[in-house]
Parts: sequence; structure tokens; C-alpha cells
Amino acid sequence: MLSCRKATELIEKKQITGLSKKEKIQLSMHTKMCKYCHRYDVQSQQLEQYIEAQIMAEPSNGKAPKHELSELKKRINSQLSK
Amino acid sequence: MMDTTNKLTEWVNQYTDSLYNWAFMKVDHAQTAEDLVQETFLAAHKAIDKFQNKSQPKTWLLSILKNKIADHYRKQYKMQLVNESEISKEGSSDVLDKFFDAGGGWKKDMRPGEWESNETHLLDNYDFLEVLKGCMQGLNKNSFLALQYKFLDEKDSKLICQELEITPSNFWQILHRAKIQVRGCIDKNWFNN
Repeated sequence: MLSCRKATELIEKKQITGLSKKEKIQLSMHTKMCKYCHRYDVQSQQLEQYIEAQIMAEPSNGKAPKHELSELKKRINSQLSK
Repeated sequence: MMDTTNKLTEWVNQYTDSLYNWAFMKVDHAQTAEDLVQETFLAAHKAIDKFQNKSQPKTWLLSILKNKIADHYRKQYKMQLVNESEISKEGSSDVLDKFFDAGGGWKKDMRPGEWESNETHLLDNYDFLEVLKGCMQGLNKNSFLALQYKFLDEKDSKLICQELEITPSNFWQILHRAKIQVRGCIDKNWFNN
């Protein structure tokens, strides 16, 4: 019988490398019987979406602290005309 | 070619601000963000023939910037791994011990609570995104970088492992530790379980 700790590991492993047949069966049996790990499975998938959205989000203007960029632009433009 | 330089100069004036914002959000360091933006324009200059007006300049520049950022993460990640492998020799504890008891069962106050099933509208909720951001920033550097690297570019896991020089097994174990922490943090701080 899988422990919950092991089950959550397999839930993640499933996503990256896939599971062996034995692991698939073990995990399936565990999540059918353990409501917490079943929740973890569902939530882990939701989390993928949330984290992806967070990481891919285009920052709206003004979120970075104000930073004077005119020097940078000058520097880049002088590099480009070399 | 003068023409190319003029076009690039126009782009520098037009897009530096938004590229800098993006870079800063990713690397949280003004000097690094500046350097990455500079590298982006220089790379664009070299590769201008590939551009050919097939897409918006901003989109193209942003894709170059993302690659530069990914390179930056990769370097940081490797440095971080070196540091941490030295630390772990002193027998530091595993993050997972926070969540599971000696028998491998969920600790009582760590058990996943119920989440509302209305997933997608949360992505439009600014307050939720702030909580999520806070939870992600609470991760150790290793975990944080692995997540960033995974999602920044829609790369294949195998390719990611090759680039970071880790095994797939290491990769999912690090991701697992990252996600279990983020999940737990959201569970407590947003869903109030």
C-alpha cells in the first residue's frame, strides 16, 4: 500500500516521466480510497494552470519600480551603431 | 547597414521600457534586467534578417528576451545546485517532512482542504494572483528557479533536464517539493483551510 507521501510523489512523477504500469495501479487504488490525495491530484493539476498564468503574465506597466532608462537607451544605441 | 541600425534605434526608443519591465519582473534586479535588454537588442541586430516583418517587432524582441532570461536562469540554477549540494551534506531536512508524518500519512493540519471548483475565474482575480505570487516567492531558490524554467518556455521536460544537467528524476522531485509548498500555502492563505 502506498503512503500518501509516496502517492503525491507519483502524482508529480506522472506529469514528467510517466508511471510504470505497477505505479499507475498503485496510485489509482490509493486516490480512490484517500480523499486527501484525490484532492491533491486534482489541485495539483489546477496549480499547473495557476503557476503558468502567473509566470507567463505580462507585467502591466508601472509595476516595476520607476527606473531611469535613458542611459540604457543611449548605451544600446551607441553599441548598435558601432 | 544604416537602414538596419535606424530601425533598431527606433525599436530601442519604442520598446526598451516594456522589455525592461518584463525582464525586471523575472529577475528582480535592475542591473541584470538592463543587461538582458541590452543583450536582446544586440542579438536582434545580428539576427535582423530572420525577422522579415513576419510578426510584430515587440513579439519578436520579447521572444529573444525570453531566451536570454532562460539562459540567465540556467546559469543561476547551476550555481544554486552547486551551493545546495554543499549544504545538503550537513544533513538538512527534507521539505516533505513538513507535510507528512513518520508513517508517510498527511499531517493533520496539512491535509488538502476543499477548493472551489470554479477554477478559471480565479485567474482573473488580482487578489488571488497576489497570494499566489507571495506563495511562490516563499520558495527556496532552487524550487523557484525550477518552476520558472519549466513554464517560461514551453519546453519538453527532457530538453529542460538536458539543459539544466539534471536527471528527470531530480527534476520532478524538485518540482514536487515546489508545488506541494505552493499548494499548501494557497490552501491556507486563500481557501482558508
